[in-house]
Amino acid sequence: MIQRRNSFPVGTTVITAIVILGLIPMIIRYINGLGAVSNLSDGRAWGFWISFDLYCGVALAAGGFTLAGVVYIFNRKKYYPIIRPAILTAFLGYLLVILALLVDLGQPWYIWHAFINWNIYSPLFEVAMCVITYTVVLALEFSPIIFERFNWHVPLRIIRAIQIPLVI
Amino acid sequence: MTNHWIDVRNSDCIMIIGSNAAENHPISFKWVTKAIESGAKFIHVDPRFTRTSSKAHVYAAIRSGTDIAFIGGMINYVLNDIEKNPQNYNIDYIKQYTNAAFIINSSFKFNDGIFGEIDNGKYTAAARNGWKYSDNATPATDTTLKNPNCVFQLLKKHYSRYTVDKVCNITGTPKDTFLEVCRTFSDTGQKGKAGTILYAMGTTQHTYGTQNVRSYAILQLLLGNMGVAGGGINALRGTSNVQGSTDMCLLSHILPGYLKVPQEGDTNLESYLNRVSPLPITPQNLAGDKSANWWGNYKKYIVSLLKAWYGAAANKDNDFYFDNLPKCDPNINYTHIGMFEAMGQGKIKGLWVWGQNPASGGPNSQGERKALENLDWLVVADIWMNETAEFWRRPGIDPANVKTEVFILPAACSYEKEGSVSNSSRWVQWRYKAVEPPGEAMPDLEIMHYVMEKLKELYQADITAPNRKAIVDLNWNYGTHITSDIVAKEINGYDLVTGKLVEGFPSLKDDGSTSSGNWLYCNMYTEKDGNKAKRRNSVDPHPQQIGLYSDWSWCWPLNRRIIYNRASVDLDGVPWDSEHPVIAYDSNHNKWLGDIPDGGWPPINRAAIQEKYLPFIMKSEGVACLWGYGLTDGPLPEAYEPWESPLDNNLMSGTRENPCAFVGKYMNDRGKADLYPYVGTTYRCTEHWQTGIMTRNLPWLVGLMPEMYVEIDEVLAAEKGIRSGDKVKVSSARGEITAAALVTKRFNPLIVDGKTIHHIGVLNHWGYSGMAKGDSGNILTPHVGDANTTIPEYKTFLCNIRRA
Amino acid sequence: MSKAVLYDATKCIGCRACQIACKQWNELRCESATNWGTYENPPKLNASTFTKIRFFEVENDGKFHFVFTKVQCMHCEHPACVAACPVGALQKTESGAVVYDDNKCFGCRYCMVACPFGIPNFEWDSPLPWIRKCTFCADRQGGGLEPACVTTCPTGALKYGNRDELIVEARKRIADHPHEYYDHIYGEKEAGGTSWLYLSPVPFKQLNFPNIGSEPVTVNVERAMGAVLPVLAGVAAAMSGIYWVVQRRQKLSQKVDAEKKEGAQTK
Repeated sequence: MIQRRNSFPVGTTVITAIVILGLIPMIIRYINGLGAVSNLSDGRAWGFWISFDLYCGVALAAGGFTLAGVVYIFNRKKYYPIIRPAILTAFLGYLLVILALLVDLGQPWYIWHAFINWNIYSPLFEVAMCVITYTVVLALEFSPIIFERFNWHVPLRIIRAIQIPLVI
Repeated sequence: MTNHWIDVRNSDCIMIIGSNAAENHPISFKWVTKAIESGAKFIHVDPRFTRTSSKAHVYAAIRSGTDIAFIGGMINYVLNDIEKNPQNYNIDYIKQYTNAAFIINSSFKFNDGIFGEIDNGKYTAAARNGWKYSDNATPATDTTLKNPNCVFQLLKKHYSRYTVDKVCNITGTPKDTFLEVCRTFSDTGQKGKAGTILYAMGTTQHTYGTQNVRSYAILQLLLGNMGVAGGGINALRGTSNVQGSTDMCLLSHILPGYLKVPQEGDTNLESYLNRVSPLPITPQNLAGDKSANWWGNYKKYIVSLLKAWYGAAANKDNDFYFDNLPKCDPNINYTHIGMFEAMGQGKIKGLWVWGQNPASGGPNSQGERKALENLDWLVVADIWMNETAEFWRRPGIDPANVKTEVFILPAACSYEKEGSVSNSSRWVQWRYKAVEPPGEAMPDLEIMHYVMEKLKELYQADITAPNRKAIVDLNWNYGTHITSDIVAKEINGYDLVTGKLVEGFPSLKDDGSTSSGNWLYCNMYTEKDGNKAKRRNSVDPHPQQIGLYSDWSWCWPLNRRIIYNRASVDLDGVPWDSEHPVIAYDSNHNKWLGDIPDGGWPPINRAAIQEKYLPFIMKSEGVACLWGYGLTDGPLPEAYEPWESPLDNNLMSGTRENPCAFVGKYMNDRGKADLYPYVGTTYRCTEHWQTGIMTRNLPWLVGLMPEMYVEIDEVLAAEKGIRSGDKVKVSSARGEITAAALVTKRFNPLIVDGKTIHHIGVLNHWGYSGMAKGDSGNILTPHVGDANTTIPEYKTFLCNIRRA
Repeated sequence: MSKAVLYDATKCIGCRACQIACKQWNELRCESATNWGTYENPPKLNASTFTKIRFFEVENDGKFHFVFTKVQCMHCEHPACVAACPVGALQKTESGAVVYDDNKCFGCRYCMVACPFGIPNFEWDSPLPWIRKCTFCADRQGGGLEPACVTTCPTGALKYGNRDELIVEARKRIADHPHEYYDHIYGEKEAGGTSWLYLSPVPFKQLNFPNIGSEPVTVNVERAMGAVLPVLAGVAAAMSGIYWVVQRRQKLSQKVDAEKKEGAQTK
């Protein structure tokens, strides 16, 4: 008996619908401000959603980092096959963190200020540096997949050379 | 004010009663704060604990409308203490500068709350005769103050009824607090100490408001606090230039300079002067033997006024145009309430409302708004559309039913025009134009100018117009562009022979050779100094540094900052208070130092016989009056209940209310305590102004106090199930309003004659016009007024409350 | 020398001229309001209200008090918001003001979370939102003027001057009138000291002043941030070490395997 598989399983459909619905408040947020789409106020400046978003994104990435560490530092080769999906997941996790920030920050078009204005005493500065570093690292760790696909050998070799420092 | 704002800082004890100075005169509190920093004590007497009370050393709660009893109790305390501890009081002041020693007519009667026979709301001539001195030309005096018919003993007899127990029973004030007030304030009776009373509408807006102020006069005179620095009876005027408006006498019973308006019986100038210009009264056996009787100069001032108005048309042959002046009927009440009563009866066809808002600011708003409908025409000159201008389309009214033709004249506000503002201290300060008025708005002066020119034209053309000459002959030569400067000069006055400005009112003449638009303001604009209201010299020129600032602007009379200041020195011209001398006699140079003296004559003991001028120059007897026979409702204040009272009886006597109060009839139902058990009182807050027409159109201020509210105590709120912020309905016999309730600990129920009395505090800043709307508090107030002035009794009435 | 303002609640009459003067100087709009049963409005500071007066009816020592307090940014000596901002948009200046540079801010709102007084406010309704709070009128101070609120106060409840001089004056006022004042200058030590100092007739906790210790909020932050680099270096070193060890073991075991294989082959 041939089993016909649905190309779009129910779970994916539901999540896609949620994402599309979520786009609406996102657009309103940019037009009318944060107060229009959230119950945030001067007394509650940070809400549940930013913590939820960041936790999920960072948690996903943590898995990727740990696995990379296990494979490359601790040399557990048997986990090598899942390293690529793990890195992909991690990379997507951090991309979602950045997306969440772009919605939550008051003026996300100035997010690049974090690169040039440093307040070394601020814990959030440390967080920003980490987010930047981890995203770059994950991008680089993910890049071999791209390079291989397009057969860009030179970048590939560079990445392979710095692979271990990246993982550390 | 007898003193002035800055002088408050010199005081040893400040009593604020009938006023919420911190909220309604916040800048004044700079001086109260400075006084407290220097060690002064501050007493606040008020039914409600307000932002003013928060700074008081002693706060005394009082039932609204019982001030005469309260002050009466204080006077009784002082009178008794004077006998026990005379060294703590300035007995010389009492004997020599007041009429305490004067002997009163032996036919004086006081019985059960009234001072003789009353006929139809007025004391009979016989009764009033009994109030006079035994000899009205040269009254006998007893400087031992023992004669049972002398003022001092009559005072004692009268006030002996105001015992602490009786007073506290009437007012609801806790006894120990009341005694603390008495002790603290009477401490200022000592030589060298001064206490000041600051008061406002809480004092005046009662059916016996004038007698309220008389109580203060008696108290302050017994304590020797008049004419001295840090003393005085100081009215905190209700708007920024109402002092200017009363000085220019925009009132129905006076002409500029507080001259009396002519009446129908005044057939000519002489008969008018016989009625109004007092003869001097020379007391016997006092150290002073001459009364300046300054009102004896009446003729000079009325003639100069008529010359200012009619110029060359007024001369000796036509009695200086006196005949053409409108004459009042002495039996008609032309005041605000009287006018609206007449309007309600359809007797008034046209009304010009100028910078006022009776539809919201007058008492009994429903009645007054209805009365306006009887007008054929109404002109409103104001900077905003107000309730009066919109009375014809107010909520609940179909404009099609209102026949009145309404004209709106937009006016410029204070920063859009130049002119003077006279503050409570009598200081006349010149203000300049900062911006152009918007749209078609014009300064009032220009509006009046154009109207008058047009009127003159119309009257000139129509020879049948009534009293035509009075308009046609008016001296109105201001050119095409009238300026406040020209008018200021005219108000000061000219020597018509030389064409130069008059130096001061002592130079005004009664023969038509001088003109002056207002004798009190004569000296403001001189040839030498120009417009003195423009002066801004912030250095106090007096070495004593009591804050006179005589070179900052100009005040009347003659730039005398503290009036009656001859009472601040003893018979030798030595100040009672060496640390805060107002004037002092320099015997080496035979002149007075300090403030402008209230008469430049030498001190009593240094003057020649029959030249020993007594200090209170505006009184015909030369001394201040503890006993005041000139008022409508009695020579002494007597405690009555307000027109609407929670009590059935007056605890002080068998006369329940002021027998001479003016009681309106038009749509003026009277409430009783069974249906309306709570005492309502109206008042203001810092954030809004008068009827709110200016402030309810300013978003910042509306943000501070956005909605009409009433204040009630926690006990009443609990009884009615009202929480702070709930909407409530407050009603009186005359109407009902909706407001937000503010439940506060600052109102407390008072125990009066065993009954619990609750107050309901009603704000009066709202109306149906403007940006932020709300119900007018005056929908609740009654159309009744003071016996002497007919000022409405806004401060006490009966009302009820329930959740909306 | 750091400037400061002394607010004396025994002189304040609650007239709120300061609240309006601030709005006027900073060109802030008003917001619509209702009477929620008190004189106080708006209920909280917000992006268009930098200062307000709070009203309290309290009993203390058997006496009834109607006390007013002015709230605004305290311009702390060791501001938590300055430490918290990742891009350094908030700075403590020489004159004492904690100023906000909207050229740097990207609206993360960490300053709002960090401030122990809950002061920085956010423009929730704006698509281009900034953080807004009292600026201590740094612009007026730069021009030699006093802050707008101080200038307008009629009774002198607000006094502007050098911080140490104002503390001396505050102590003197308490000493001269011990019955009028509660014996504490709020802001002298709280949160490491603030530029806005307060005197009151009643205990400060009756006036909803937060009970904050005298340790600056920034102390812990500095400790934590100081630890970051050492921790980073330590972990990197440890990971490198582990890597080296693992690689070496791998090489050694590969060598042993190779030798074993050789040995097996030669047998």
